[in-house]
Amino acid sequence: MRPIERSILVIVNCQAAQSGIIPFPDVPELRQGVEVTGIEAYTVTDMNNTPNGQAVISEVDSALVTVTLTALSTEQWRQTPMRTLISRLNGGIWKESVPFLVNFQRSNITFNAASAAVAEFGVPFSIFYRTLSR
Amino acid sequence: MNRHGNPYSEPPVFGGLLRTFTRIVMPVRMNINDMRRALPTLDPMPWPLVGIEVIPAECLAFLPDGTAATTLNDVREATITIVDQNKVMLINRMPLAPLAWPVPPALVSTVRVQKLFHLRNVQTDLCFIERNSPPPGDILDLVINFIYAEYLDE
Repeated sequence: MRPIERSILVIVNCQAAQSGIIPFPDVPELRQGVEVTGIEAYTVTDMNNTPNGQAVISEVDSALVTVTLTALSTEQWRQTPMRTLISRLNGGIWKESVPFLVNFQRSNITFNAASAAVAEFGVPFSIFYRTLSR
Repeated sequence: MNRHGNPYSEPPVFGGLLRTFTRIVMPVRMNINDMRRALPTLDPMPWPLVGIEVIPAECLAFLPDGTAATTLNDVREATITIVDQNKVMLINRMPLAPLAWPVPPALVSTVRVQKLFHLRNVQTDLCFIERNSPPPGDILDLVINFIYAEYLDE
């Protein structure tokens, strides 16, 4: 497994009873000059709130979510179940990828059924990456 | 590309080249109104930081000074940010609970793999712990272990 050189926490904000596709927020640190090397997802079991105090997705709701990461125009990771990205469920191993240039504007998460949440919540991800300036 | 054919890690971390680990134990207390707490000041290590461990009460109930350690449930309230000497944010707000070691069986099945890092020139006093819940919160007495690897010269 490749060592982690850089990591950033990215939160996808969701509404109560969220369904459908939600794009990832713009992440300036990941816009250019970096390659994504992996990703890890978290639920409320891993962190009780997001850093801005928002509730975190429940274990039950996380089974409704798939993740699509797009490299330029190609969907590099298409509809990956979020539960497979939770390292706690995989002996602590995070999902590693061949490094690729991510296009976050075209990456998203999808709720395949309506969330049971009754208030706004966040879906946190750690994006592992490396810089190309070497 | 290095001589091990790995273009991504320099120097290689696996392959029997590790000679020693240096383990720095840092107790960090967050009081009830603290939203952020810097790590203690340490001289920069010449070696890369390869591991970060959080020791919850399930692993060590009391700190050496007799303070009760924080449970894993409360560790979920915090994230860690790692910054280097040039103030570059290497690790941004990584949740602490997945770094806790070891964790109760309810949270992980059997074998647990620690995250492997390769972070150079870490400046500990620029690194900080942040609380995710608005204050006032619980007092968090965290034990953070930084693990540095020294490499054999090739």
